[in-house]
Amino acid sequence: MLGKLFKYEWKGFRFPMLIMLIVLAGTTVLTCSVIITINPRYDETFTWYSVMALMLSVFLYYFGIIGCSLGVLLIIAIRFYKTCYTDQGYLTHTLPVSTQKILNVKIISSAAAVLLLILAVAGSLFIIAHVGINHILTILIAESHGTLEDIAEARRVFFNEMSTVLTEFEDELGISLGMYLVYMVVYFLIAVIANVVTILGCVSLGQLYTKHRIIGAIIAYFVVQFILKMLGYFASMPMYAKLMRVDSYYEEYTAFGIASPTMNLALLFSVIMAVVMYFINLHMMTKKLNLE
Amino acid sequence: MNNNNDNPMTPQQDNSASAYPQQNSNPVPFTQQDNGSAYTQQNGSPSPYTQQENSAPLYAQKESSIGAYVQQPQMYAGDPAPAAPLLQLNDLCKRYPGMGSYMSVFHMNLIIPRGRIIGLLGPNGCGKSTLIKMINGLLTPTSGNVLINGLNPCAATKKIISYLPERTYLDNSMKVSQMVGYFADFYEDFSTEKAFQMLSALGINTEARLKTLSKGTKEKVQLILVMSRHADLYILDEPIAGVDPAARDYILRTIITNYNPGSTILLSTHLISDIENILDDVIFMKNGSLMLYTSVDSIRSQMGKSVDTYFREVYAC
Amino acid sequence: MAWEMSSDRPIYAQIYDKILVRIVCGIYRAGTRLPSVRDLAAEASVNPNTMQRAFTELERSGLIVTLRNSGRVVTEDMQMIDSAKRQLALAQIDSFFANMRELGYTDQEIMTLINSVVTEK
Repeated sequence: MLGKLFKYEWKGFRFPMLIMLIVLAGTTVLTCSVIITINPRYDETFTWYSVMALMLSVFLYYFGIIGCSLGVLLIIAIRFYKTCYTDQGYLTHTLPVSTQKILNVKIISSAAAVLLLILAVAGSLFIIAHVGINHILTILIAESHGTLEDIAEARRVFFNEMSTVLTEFEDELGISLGMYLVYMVVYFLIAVIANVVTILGCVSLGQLYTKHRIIGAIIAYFVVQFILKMLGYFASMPMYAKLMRVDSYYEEYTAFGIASPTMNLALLFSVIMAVVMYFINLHMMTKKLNLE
Repeated sequence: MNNNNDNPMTPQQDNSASAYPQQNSNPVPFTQQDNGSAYTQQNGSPSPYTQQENSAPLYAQKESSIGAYVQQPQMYAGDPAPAAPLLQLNDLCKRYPGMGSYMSVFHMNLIIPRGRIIGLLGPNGCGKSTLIKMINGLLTPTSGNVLINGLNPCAATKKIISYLPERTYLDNSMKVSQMVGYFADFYEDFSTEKAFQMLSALGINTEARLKTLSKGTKEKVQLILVMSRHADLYILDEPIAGVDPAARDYILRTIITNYNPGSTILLSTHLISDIENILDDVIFMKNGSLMLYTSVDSIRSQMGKSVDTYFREVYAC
Repeated sequence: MAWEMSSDRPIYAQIYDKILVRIVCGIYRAGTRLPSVRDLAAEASVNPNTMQRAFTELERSGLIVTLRNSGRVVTEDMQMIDSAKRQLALAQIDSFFANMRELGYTDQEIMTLINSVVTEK
């Protein structure tokens, strides 16, 4: 039964997700192709146009990403609202499955949609960086009339340089890069799930405002965000306190050491919020359900 | 108010005070000499089945006669009777938030047995839909409880209830055939074959997306999906309100032919005359309360009028 | 097509009458099998329980018999069918006379009138 629930969630998300991935892919391809056109060997006007085009496409790319990340959150909220609280709720809530299972499936599939998008964005950034670096190296070698082996050599040198930079960064950070990546991945995973639960909770809370359920949801969202911001402010207190002492005890502190308590605390707050929201969701979907 | 908690209004089998014509006491019509035969009804002779000793309006009679009727479906006693009744309401109340002290459903007690087709009748706003939603677990009672096979509404009870809401509740972006697949995926008792058979009988294109269909067609699709299940309890909220009279006949026939004797159909409607012939029993609701729960035959034989006519009298404004 | 029902009598009683007429006038012949409850209920657009009840009444009157293997059949007792037919006829006559008396005819006048109508034909 769970598998079937996931199947229909996937079917519901498939189409809008596809559109967003196409938008992302389109802007990525555009940016990459614009990067490739830049070449100082061409005349000045052309280069100027290329640079302008690059700025424009980066601009587009930026808004593409923003649009997609807002879009995915919106899709999650709308789909949850539609399947649980509009007429379709009659179908959803009379399935021979417990409400908690339905909620869990919706949370997991929504979080999966967000993660998929994050992965896609990361992939696209990687592609752009890769294309950009390759292109710059190619131009540089071409300028000095080098061969293909020179390009390969230059890349090797470049990435060597990069790893030294990263090692220095590691020292600055106070944690190994691998550990940092793991930390960030876990952090994002938790944050994404917490965020999804909170958004769904806001949609559910909106049901209390029976006359305008959507407006209710939006108000609930802003209230919750405000509370989280306030909590985030308290969470950053230790960081500021440490930053103030950094001047005198510079050696003792690393970037990670300063930032991580704040990040952890903020995450803790959003997790607590998510737990509260989870039970609000469950309560609204069972005891307080009131379909029109 | 709670004193009848242990004795909810229920059809009883052998009640000597029954207002229901006892089968055993019915003389065989054509051996009767004095009373005219079964064939003289137009002239106002009483039917041999009609016992008119009790002429008080049913709704004016006290509980002794209201709840006292109903022969259990002896003829279809195929399956062993489980201990708990199919559906039981215990002192059920519902008050919506923001409605002050107004109770949409007010202290309802009811037992619904297996093997009946029951009409849930009442004017708009009398609490029919609220009651139905509570049975389906879409609303939580303010007090009292609903028991289906002895269980509060949950996943297990949703499995045995096939519910048709009054809303068009299907996913508009899906095709009809995908919706059939959806029901087949989630309901073990769903017959895909039956559904496609009925869809083609009504000439519905199964490859059409639901959003392209008219409201009436959507309602037909919904009813077909609901009736293609082999459930214990069918709850149909206004099943024929939105469809044309020709399809209405087909739908009623569908209900009759798909109806399996072990299950009960509870259908709410205000189009009484159309469905009167297929009902065993009727439940009249007024202002959230149960007013009358009796059989169609007993209304007809005691009052000498159809349920439709009787309904109009009871709810006359 | 749904059977037409009048509104003032129990439906099973009306179905009883309709099936009775079918038996008496030979649509369901003596000794033949009757349609199933479900089929007949669908034909009449009535609840199967109601149809079942009409059948039960017919069985009680002896006009139909339930056999173990072949379902319900019309009785082969022609005498019983004839007597049922006669009862129906008598009932028609009774109601006819009742109506005529209401119009002010005496029994003698009614008979004379009937004879004249018959001979005219």
